[in-house]
Amino acid sequence: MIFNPKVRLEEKHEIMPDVFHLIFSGDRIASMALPGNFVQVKVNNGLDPTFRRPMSIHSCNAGRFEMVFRVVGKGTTILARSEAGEFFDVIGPLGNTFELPEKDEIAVMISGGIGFPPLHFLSRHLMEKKNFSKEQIIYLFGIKTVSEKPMAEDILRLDVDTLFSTDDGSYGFAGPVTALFEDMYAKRLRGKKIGIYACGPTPMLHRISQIAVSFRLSCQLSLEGNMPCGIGTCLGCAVKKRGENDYLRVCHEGPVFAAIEVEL
Amino acid sequence: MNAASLEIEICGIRFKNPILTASGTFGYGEEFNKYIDLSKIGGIVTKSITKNPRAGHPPPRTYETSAGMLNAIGLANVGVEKFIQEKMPFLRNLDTRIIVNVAGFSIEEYIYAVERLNDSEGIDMLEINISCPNVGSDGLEFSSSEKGAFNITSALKRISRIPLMIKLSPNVTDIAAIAKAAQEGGADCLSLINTLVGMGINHWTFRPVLTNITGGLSGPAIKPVALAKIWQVYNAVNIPLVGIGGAMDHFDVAQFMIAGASLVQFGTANFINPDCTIKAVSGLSDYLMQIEISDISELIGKLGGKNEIQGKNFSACQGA
Repeated sequence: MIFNPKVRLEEKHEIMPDVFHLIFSGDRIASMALPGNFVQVKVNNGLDPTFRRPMSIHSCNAGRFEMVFRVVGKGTTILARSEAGEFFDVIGPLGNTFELPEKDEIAVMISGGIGFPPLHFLSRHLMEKKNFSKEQIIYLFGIKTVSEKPMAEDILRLDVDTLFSTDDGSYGFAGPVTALFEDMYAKRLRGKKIGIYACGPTPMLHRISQIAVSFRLSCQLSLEGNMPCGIGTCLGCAVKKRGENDYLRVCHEGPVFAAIEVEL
Repeated sequence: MNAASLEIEICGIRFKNPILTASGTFGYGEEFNKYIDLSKIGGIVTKSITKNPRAGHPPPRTYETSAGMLNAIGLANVGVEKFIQEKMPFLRNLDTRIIVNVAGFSIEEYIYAVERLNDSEGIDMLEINISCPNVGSDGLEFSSSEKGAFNITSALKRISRIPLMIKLSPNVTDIAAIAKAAQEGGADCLSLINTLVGMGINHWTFRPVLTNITGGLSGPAIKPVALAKIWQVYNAVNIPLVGIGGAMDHFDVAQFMIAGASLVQFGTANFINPDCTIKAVSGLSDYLMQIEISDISELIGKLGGKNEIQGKNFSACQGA
């Protein structure tokens, strides 16, 4: 079921410069949404911007759903300036969901930059609804530099084994999060049954796909796309099917794809 | 006053209201079935169907603009055979009019698709997208010349057992002349406007924002252009017109009809609000009550031609 309610912004937190955490009341979306789903938010009443903004769901709890985003353009600027008490026209939950790991698998979450919200939702879901233990989840959190570490506050609150990488080496592993994964795979994970869950910039997901495909690892990617409609009709958010002259819709067949399904 | 009638009849086909969906913005109808009661809209225009399946252009295919968007999807579609087998069974069972949009890259490709669709039950009308290059001949878009529009229309009219709606491009010097050529070729009605050619440029990368370089501009930004073109064509032909271009609500529908349209298609608006069409249907009823018109067809062409407009005294409306 997909809903189109007016939802109330209950809380807004700036967790670091230009990164905001918004909490909305919305019973039906909060009760129906599953990890991987997203919502389309109309951030304004007029036509500037013209379209809704697709936002990953960071968490769903007690009739509330949450999103965390970085301010990158017009839509996110308006959202960031909004105040608690304002109402927003939201469509959701949209898109597909993550296929959950098997009981005997270790779920390896890999996020780059602001890509963590769907993986946060997934991690909480596994622990709170599916009885996964903390030891079954490993989180690799890639950022540019140590000053971005506040973004990870909710991930750290999960209390799972969390490793950081920074591009400038100012905190944790020095280098891209994909290299951190390779390092960790070689040292700790080879031979174990793992499922990779990744979200972040396209070059990062491209590299993770390469690694996963070459080692034949189960790997799901949460993609973003240029998404005017978000409901499968405009065909704007096309992503190439691997090995075929055809496209899939990020909003409809996705946003979660197996790494072997798509070419990034 | 009783509720006004929203029914419109053109080409011998009765529409329960003048609101249709525009090609390429409503998929094959199925996608919207989750959001709205499809039986409440006047009709559905499918995305363009071609002889063979098409994957479409590589992304980026769309780009948001002020009050609109650019798109270069590349006519991605399942092809006419799969359309008939997999999409028509759903469409023909809907209690609304079904208009199938057809595109091609040679007259033969259009003919092939129309002949296949002739045999499929449940199609009320064919909308012919003539804004495609004639790869088989001079490479120019059929829509770009009177000759091109006449040739494709008359070729299809000869074989089609379904009424033809010819979709005109605004990217021409004199759309009224093209409209007349399509009428002469046997068009049962005309729809206009298709998108305006546009482009976006990334000033950091020095690259176009679309892989296809140029795309079609749609959305509220183009509504004034569409109204002008409808009005021009209305005063040049005597077949019914279907207005397209940035309609968002029932007032826009009224404006298109006053300019001369009998029906109005909603396109980009579907992406913003999936229920825009059914909201416009109920809004139209209220509007007609307010202006005390009992039959919506009275609105069609109410603006009149240039002489009529200039002859009217508008002082009563000033400041309204």
